[in-house]
Amino acid sequence: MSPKIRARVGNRGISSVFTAVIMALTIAAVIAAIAVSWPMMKSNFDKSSWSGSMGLYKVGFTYTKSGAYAYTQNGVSAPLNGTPGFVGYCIAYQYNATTAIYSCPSNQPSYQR
Amino acid sequence: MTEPIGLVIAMIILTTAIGIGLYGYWTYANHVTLQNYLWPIAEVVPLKNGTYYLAIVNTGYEPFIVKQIYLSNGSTISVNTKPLTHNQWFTENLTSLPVAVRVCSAVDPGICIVVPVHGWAMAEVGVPPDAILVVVETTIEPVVIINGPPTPIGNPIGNPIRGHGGGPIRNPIGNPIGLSINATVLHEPSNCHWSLTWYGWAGNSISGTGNLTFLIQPVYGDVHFIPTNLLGPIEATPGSAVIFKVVCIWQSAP
Repeated sequence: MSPKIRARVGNRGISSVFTAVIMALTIAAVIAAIAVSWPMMKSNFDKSSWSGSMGLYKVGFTYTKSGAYAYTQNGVSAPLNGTPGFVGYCIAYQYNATTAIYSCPSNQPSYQR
Repeated sequence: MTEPIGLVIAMIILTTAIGIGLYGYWTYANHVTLQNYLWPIAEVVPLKNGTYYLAIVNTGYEPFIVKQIYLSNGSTISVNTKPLTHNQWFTENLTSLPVAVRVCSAVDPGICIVVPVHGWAMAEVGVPPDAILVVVETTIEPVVIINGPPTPIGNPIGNPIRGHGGGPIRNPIGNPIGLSINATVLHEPSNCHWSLTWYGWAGNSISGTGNLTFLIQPVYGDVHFIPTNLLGPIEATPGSAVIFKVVCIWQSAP
C-alpha cells in the first residue's frame, strides 16, 4: 500500500470518529435541552392555566339565617362584615345598607379605575 | 499524529461549548420556571375613612416575599415581608391607591415579578327575606303607639298600631320588614318614664322620658336599629324575634 493510499484511509477513519462524536454530542445536547426545557414548558402551561382560572374568579352574595354571606364558585364562603374579609381569593365587606364592595382576581386593575 | 491530537482538542472545545451553553440554558430555564410559579394576587378596596385596604395572597406553592408596593402618586413603599406560603395573606392599610406590587421568590430572591393590583367593584346585596320585628308592650293600654310609613313589600303600617297589654304586636304582622320603617313611640302620659328592651343577636335596652323616634332597617340579613339621639346601631339576626318591650314606670309625686 502506497503512503498516499495509507494516508487517505487514515483520514477516513479520523473523519468517521469525528462524525460519530459530533452525532453523540448532538444527541446528548438535544436530550439535555429537552430535559431542561420540560419543567419550563410545563410551568408556562401551568401559568397560563392559572391566569385563565384567576380571570374567572368571582364572588357572589347570599343570605342565610345567620346573616349575609359572600361566596366564590369553588365553594368558599365567609360572612360579610363591616371590615374587609377574605372570601377565597377575594376580599369583600359591607359598605352600606344594600351594597358590598369587593375585589377579586377577575376585577380590572386598580389603575384603570 | 497531529490529526488525532487536533481531533481531541476539537472535541474538548466542542464539549465545553455545549456544556456552557446547556448550563446557561438550564440557568435561564430554571429562572423562568421559578418566575412562572410565582402566583400572587393583589387586591384593593377603599375604606370608609378614605384609606385603601391592600391584600396580597399567595395562590401558588412557591413561597414569595412582598418587596415593594407601587402607589398611584408615583411613590413606592418597601415592605419586605416574611415569606408567604400557599394561601397566606399580607394586608396593609394605605393612604394612596396601590397600583402594583413587586414580589420575589423566597427560593431565589433574585427572581421577582411585578403584578397589578386588582381594583374593586360594588354589588347590590338587597335586603334579608325574613327579618321580623316583634313589638311587645306590657303596660296598660294606651301607653305606646307605634306608627310609621307602609313597608315597601309587606303589610302597610301607615295606621298607628296601638300596643296591647296582652301580647306581641308584629310589625308588620307576620310579614317581613321591608327596606326601612320609621316608627315613633309616643308615651301617654308624657311624664311616664320608659325603658325599651330588645332581644336577639345583640339585645340591649334603653330608657328615658318622652317621645322616642327610631329607625328599623334590615341590612344584610340583620336588623339594624338606629335610634335617633340614642346609641346604636344594634343588630339582630333575621329569623329571631326582635322584641321591643316598653315598660312604663310611674313616677311618684314629689
